[in-house]
Amino acid sequence: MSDGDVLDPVGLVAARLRDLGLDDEVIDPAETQADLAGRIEQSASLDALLSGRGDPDPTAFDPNWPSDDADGAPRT
Amino acid sequence: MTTIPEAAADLRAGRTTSRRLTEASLAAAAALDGDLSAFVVVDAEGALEAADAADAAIAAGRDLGPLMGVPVGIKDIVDVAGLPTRCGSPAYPATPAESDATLVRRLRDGGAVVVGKTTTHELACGVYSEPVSNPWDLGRIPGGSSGGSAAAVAAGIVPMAVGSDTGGSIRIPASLCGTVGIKATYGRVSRAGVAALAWSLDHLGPLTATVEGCAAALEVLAGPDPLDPSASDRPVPQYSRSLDRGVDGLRIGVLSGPPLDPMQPDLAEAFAGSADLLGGQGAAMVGVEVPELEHGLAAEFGIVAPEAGEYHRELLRNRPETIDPSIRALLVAGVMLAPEHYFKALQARRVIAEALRDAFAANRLDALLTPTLPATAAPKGTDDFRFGESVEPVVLAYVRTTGPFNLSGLPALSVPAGFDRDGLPVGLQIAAAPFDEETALRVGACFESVAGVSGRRPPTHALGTVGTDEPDPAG
Repeated sequence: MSDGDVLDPVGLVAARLRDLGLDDEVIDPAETQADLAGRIEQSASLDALLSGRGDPDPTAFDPNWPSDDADGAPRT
Repeated sequence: MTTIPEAAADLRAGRTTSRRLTEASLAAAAALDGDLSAFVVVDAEGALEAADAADAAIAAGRDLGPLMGVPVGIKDIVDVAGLPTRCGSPAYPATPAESDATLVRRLRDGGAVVVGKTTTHELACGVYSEPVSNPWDLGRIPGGSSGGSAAAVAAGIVPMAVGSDTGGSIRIPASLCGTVGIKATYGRVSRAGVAALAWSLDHLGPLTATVEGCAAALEVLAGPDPLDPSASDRPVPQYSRSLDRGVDGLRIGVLSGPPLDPMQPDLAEAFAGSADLLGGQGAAMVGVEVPELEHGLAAEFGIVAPEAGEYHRELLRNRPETIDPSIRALLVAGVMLAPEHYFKALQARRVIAEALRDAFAANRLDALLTPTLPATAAPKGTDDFRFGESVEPVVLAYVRTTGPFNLSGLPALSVPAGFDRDGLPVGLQIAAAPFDEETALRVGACFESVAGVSGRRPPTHALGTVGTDEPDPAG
């Protein structure tokens, strides 16, 4: 594809599928484009959650809570 | 149904043998699995060999732990040496696994008897677990993805089966089939030798008939593992020691608001009644809202898609026709979406985990209650639930109440909490602070003792086939 080519969203998805080696007849570009649009919309919904919270470090997730967090420690 | 503690007591007292328990389990599987499809493979020869070894150990005076001589099932995404790991997918080969997953090794070291592999929803990515049927109503789904494990336990074929849980896959089928199930803290049970769905959300754990059995099974399954870098080195408590301590003096949160609504009316009523029961046992019940949980589904699937897409990238490239279309769409999206969406979901997970931590801290909670699910078992073939005027896909309805505890990594237990007007099981979810499975199990044991629902059996049940003294309907 040259820089001058203009593709519709489905065409762009088809091109990306080819790049990834996923251009198989069971993977329909139009259905994929529609599905991706829904998932991108779902991702955008997270903006409301993240707004005003700075920029949480996504790599720092740790299921352990601080052991010195006395208020949050189990009381058992 | 013979429970783990009953089996352990009978074995040690000489009232039964592991061979007898195992033969009963095999007979139950033969009698019932035509209806249930809970197992993808039953290894009678290997099970009887293990049972004889357990009996020899007992005769020699050795005590390998609470599962010694007890028949168990293993979800078919977990490697069991000598048996194939098919992951509910035609794409996976019938080649036997060369070695046991760490958790299977721990079970074998503890003298447990592996009866077979239980059916999973394809690639552990879904809540239907076809072709498994729910023992309470064969026309309904068992939930998933650990549907075979839940059906096998609920029907009394085995007292314990292992499940996995990425967004609720232990607790969803436990709730729908009326069993106990726990997803322990992330890292509590090794994932080594287990096919992944989403690495950072995957948990393993037991499904059992009783909370006491669940505690015993988790004691065996949990522990450090050099083969799994995410496995915790924390010592594993003897969970069973706290089960009879009651809840007097504990502070227990009662969640309201997101993500509970909409919910079937019978389940809302059962949830309120469950909280009242625990309050009546001396716990201080505290109303809690965590508005951030409204975004749990977006975060959950924003992480599952890219992690699962990457894990299955070669399968997607080479044999996409073997993958169910809905799962394939998820995997394709995971591969194609820009990384910014993944990182945003990871950030959201952190915010949600911190919101739960803050709710525990601000209210000085020991545990947090939610309904395990907002709906009971759907009829097979159902795509959507109708809640009044709103319609919601079955998978999203089930995952929205369980997924937050995968995102946060917190331990979460599901215990039977009653039945809806159609006689279908309802579950209560009990979450606790990280690595405080002991409190979740303690609260669950107290609830189980006063709820009065654990003795009911589904219509499709082994009755005496896994017992010692009851008649054997399988002959």
